[in-house]
Amino acid sequence: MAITYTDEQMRQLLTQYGPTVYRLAMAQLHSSFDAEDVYQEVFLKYLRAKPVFQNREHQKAWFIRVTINCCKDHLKKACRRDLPLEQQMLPAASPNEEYAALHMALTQLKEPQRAIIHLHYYEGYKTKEIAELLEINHSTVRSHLRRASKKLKKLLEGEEF
Amino acid sequence: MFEEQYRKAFDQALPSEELQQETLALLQEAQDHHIQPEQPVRKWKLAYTVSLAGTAAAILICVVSASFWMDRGQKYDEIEGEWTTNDSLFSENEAFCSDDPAENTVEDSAASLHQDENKTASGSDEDSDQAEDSELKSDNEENKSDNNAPVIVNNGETKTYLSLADFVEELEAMSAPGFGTNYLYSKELLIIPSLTYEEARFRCLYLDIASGNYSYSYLITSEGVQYYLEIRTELTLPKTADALSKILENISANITFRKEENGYRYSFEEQGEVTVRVYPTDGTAIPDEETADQILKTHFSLHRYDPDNPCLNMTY
Repeated sequence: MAITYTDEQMRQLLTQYGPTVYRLAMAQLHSSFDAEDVYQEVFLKYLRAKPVFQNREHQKAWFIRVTINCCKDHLKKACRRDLPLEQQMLPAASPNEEYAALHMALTQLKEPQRAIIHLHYYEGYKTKEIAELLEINHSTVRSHLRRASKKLKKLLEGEEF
Repeated sequence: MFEEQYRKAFDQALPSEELQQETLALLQEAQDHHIQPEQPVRKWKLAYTVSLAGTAAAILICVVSASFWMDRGQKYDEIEGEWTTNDSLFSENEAFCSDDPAENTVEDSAASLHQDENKTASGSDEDSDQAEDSELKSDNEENKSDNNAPVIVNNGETKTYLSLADFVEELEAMSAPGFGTNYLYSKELLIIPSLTYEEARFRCLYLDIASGNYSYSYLITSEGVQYYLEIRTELTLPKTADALSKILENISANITFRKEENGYRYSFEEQGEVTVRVYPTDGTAIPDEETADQILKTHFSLHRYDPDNPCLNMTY
């Protein structure tokens, strides 16, 4: 028998994982417009796949992985357009200049680096856990993190602006 | 230090209440329509299927394109004895919908289009109507190019460049049995650019066959500053004429507005079927709210699809 979710269950899912999905999409895409697309896409995928999890961490990891994949697809789609509808990579909504600078600096990073930075600094994952999530080598994660942090620091200090 | 700054920046980034409600409604709707769970597919099997389908699609596209262009070439040969292809719209190294406004290119394109239109008109039997149209068109050369601007249709394998009129024909064809109901009524939801704005230049239209979404982009000038006016649609396509009427009523009735970091966003209809964004080309000259409203009112209007609309009847 097919699993169905009640309105309350769907609402709980959105409350519990919505912010994680949205923030990660923002960190990847830097456009609230595109982040919203990804947000909806991820939850629709969840509804279609109806995955079963061992625990909450497992469930959260699923959302993170699917969000990253959706963002990759989104970026690929943008690349397939000869030139995107203007500025596929827009600075995200930020309350002040300091944060705008941070978002702008993040756009200078490569795609896996943005995800790694976000998962490490915001979601608090260790490099080993990130390696498992992204299915890449642990040493690669560490080297991406080191380079990305260094680059961000330089950018925020204004050395490369 | 950096960690704290990063956390603070992203603490602010939360999905809006509106987005959550919209998503909830979407999920409910998807569940009500009994969407099928995705079946696990082995990677090799998927790759094999995709490559086979890709090869078949490529062959089909080559055959169809060849017959289309041969047929079209023949048609124009009969009229004028020569045929200028759409390629004349682009200079040799110009990317489609380039960030560079490319004034000269557009003017050249307009001239080329004008020439072609005259050729077509002179070869037609519908003299009086065409002559009137032609007169109207000559009043505003730039707008002619706007509305003849190409459309990119992406079917995942190839991109096809079409005029707006041909694009509507494509949509009509896709509404036919065999394509499911995905595109039924979609042409009625088309937003037709107005002919009255001298400084609005239609830049490109992008249609993704897989998702059914399409987007328009305009380059506009207001008080000497250039802005992009971008229109995106999410076609939750109606299955009945009544449902269509309801959507059209809502589009004109409900407009939500919000300011974003880099511009403004207007959503027509509660579920965001049509979204318009206004933002500056250089990323810095963000208009104030009054100016953004003025830009929207001056440069944008919603028109229902109408087969008699001269915008759609122009040909290359």
